[in-house]
Amino acid sequence: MTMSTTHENKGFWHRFFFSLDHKDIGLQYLITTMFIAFFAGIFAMVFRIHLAFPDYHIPLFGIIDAKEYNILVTNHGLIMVLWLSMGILLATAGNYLIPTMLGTDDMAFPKLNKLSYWFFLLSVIILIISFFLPQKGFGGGWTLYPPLSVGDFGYNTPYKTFSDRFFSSNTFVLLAIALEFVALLMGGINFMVTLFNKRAKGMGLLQVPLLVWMIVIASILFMFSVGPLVAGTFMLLLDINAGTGFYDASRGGDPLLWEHLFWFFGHPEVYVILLPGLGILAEVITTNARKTLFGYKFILVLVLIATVLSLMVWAHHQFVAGVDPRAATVFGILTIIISLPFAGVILSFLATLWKSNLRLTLPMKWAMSAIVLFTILGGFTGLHLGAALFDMYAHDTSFVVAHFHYTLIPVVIFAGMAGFYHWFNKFSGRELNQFLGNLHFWLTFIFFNGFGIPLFLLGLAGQPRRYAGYDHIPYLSEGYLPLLREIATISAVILVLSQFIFIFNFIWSVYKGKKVTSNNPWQSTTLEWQTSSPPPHGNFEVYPVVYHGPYEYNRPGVDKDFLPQNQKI
Amino acid sequence: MSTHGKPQGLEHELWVPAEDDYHGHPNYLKVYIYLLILFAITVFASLIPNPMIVFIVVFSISIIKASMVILNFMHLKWEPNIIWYMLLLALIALAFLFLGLYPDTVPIERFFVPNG
Amino acid sequence: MNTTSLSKIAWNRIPQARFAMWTLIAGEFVIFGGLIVVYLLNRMKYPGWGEMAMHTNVVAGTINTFVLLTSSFFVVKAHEAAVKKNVEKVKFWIWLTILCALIFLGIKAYEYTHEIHLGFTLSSPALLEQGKHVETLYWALYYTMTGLHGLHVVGGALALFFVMRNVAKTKSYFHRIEAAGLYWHMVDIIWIFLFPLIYLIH
Repeated sequence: MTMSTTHENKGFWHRFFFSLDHKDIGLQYLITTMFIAFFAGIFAMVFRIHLAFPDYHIPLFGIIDAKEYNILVTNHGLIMVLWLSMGILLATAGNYLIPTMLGTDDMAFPKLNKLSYWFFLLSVIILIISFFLPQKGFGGGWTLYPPLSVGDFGYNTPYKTFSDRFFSSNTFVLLAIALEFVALLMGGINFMVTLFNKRAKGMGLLQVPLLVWMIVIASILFMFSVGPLVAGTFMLLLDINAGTGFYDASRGGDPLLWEHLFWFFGHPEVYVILLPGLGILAEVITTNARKTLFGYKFILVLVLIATVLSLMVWAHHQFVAGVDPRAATVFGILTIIISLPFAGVILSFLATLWKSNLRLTLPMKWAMSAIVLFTILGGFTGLHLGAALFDMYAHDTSFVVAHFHYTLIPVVIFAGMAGFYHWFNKFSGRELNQFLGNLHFWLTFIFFNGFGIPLFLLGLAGQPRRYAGYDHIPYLSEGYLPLLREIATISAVILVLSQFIFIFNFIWSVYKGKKVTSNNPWQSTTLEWQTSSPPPHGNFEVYPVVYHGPYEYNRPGVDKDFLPQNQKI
Repeated sequence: MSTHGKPQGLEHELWVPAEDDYHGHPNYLKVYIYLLILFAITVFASLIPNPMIVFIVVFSISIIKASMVILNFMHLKWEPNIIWYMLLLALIALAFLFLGLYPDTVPIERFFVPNG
Repeated sequence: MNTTSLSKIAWNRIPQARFAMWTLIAGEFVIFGGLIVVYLLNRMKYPGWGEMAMHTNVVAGTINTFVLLTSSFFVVKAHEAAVKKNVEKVKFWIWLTILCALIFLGIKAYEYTHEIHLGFTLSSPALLEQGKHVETLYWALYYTMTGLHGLHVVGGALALFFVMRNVAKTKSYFHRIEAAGLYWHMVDIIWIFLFPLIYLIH
């Protein structure tokens, strides 16, 4: 594999199994995540085609029935939220970039790092196995609500023996999730200890690039919010396999308990996904605006406040579940308040861009569109949904689907792609093809909006989500609503297909792309750009000493328009 | 031996070898005896006929015992502030979990046995 | 003897093994805390649970609590010996701690056998037949909490064993005794909360 060199060339499989180098592990996470996300993308195409064109015979899938539809939707959601987002933004970016940006040789615990990858890979394998069990995949919604996720409702394979229960898609999906959580917990500990204990000489905590801070804060938030869900998942597994009644109303249990435990994690989870995305945007924006980040300390404080607040808003996912209206009021108010710190962060980014020396490179295009789409279409509609009264109408409609796609896709895909196009030449030593990159960007941007905006309109018209078809509902099948559905579907299909341009570009450029002529083609200041592309084993020939902050661009008294972090004035 | 093989240029990361970073300590035997005394009080308090008083007394003593273990045996008193902040965050998360779950669980009746 | 930790000089300077262990401990507190919150809420809701709590073996629970508290004392003595780099004493105190762990597990196994014999299991079909639906949940939670705790006792004992063996062989890596000991104290603290909630409150 020509992607990165080690001082000992031991062959692909030896490196795959035994390499403790964080860069290799980061790339392993990248490939594994892209592999499983490929399936989630195909699932999305298939079920969208079914919704708009129910009689169309889809290649390889045929005509989808309701059970298969549920399985496709559920696994699309599970894979994208739990495996793709955190796999790319936390695991890949964190593993590859944290030690290199901090100017050190590797993570604090390299062997624990390797172990966490094995758990992650195992979780993906178990998830894939769940598609081959009698149920053909779990179909109860990515939120796994009991009693649907506990019993054998709707399956043609009733649970008779313990073996039926254990070797079911329900159990295997839960086991996959549990394993993945363990992998991320171990990774989180590693990231946190590395930030505090393994920084370059002279790098105080306030001279650390924002991306590293964001990943570490996200990991801490993950660690503290996932606990109750781990307990809850354990209880759900026992309910399925051991006949306990934790979520069974006829035993004194409560299905709503799962909802609370799930969303207690589920809401902070979206900030776990958001924070590294914002971190990547900070890096790309400062490099391409040739300007120092506005309000570094301000952003950190805001993010810490938002982190604590995020533990207090989860029941806005349960406004219609029958929670006490007084509690709903409190949660609604806190939800609206939590938009303020993030607005502050976005405004800081805008202030960074103000009167800057903007270079509209490909990463910058991804970054700017991420900010616009996330804030205007994702963030504002979040305010709508935070108001409990509006949510009563919009809950479980396509409005919600559009809202979370407008918050997740700009952060995971657009900001993720900004990072990918930004750091590709660092981890591979070659450049991506610019024409294909631009084509990928424009197709993604246009057709993502072509998918999302009709979905907002459909949601306002009352179209519910998680329905396997709308032909039998008169008010949804008249007027221009079917047309909107078709526009959304065709856009979604083209959106997914355009990602293949990216995959082709990626693989082609790794082997045949133009080799970079400089270590630092973007002329960036952070430490990972001050070493070779790709960095050697150990990251630096000579370990850098840091003299100032990470975003010294256009500093008076310096002749170049940037000053690397390890260079004195 | 103590540096355990740090590459050249990264010695500043070790700062001080872990086994030499010892801290102050209490008299462990004294703390243990206090814990046993509190434990005995707990057991005898459980014999009080009023369940509400039992709960308050027993739970408070548990909190005191846990604090004594964590501050003394786990040396939290001598640990740097960041550890305190982390544990505080864990407690805040749990407090919110309890407060958020309470109105939706305790006063509500959802017990239901289907017919047949 | 130093009274301040060297790492106390900076608010965020702490050797990484201890740092990682504290982080893990904080995470575990949230996991067990979640279970305890669920237990507390259900306890407040269902008076019938108090009746079930009478069937737990208070004597066994009391002995177990004493055993765990003592094991905490033993493991901190092992840490004291490790600070002085005294390998023989470290081995002595750690073996005592592991002995306490085995006693704890033995008593727990006896309790479980007795309770299963009485018909209280994870699903308690005997109680269901009697129409005591709500009480089955008590036993489900009891086995979950104590079972998960028991698994952590096993894990902690194994960790202490392997760390001690490594220290004895290499005559170094003494700081790991404190890290493993921290984990053990966490297991003890969780039991400090589980004991009264399950055994004492009627």
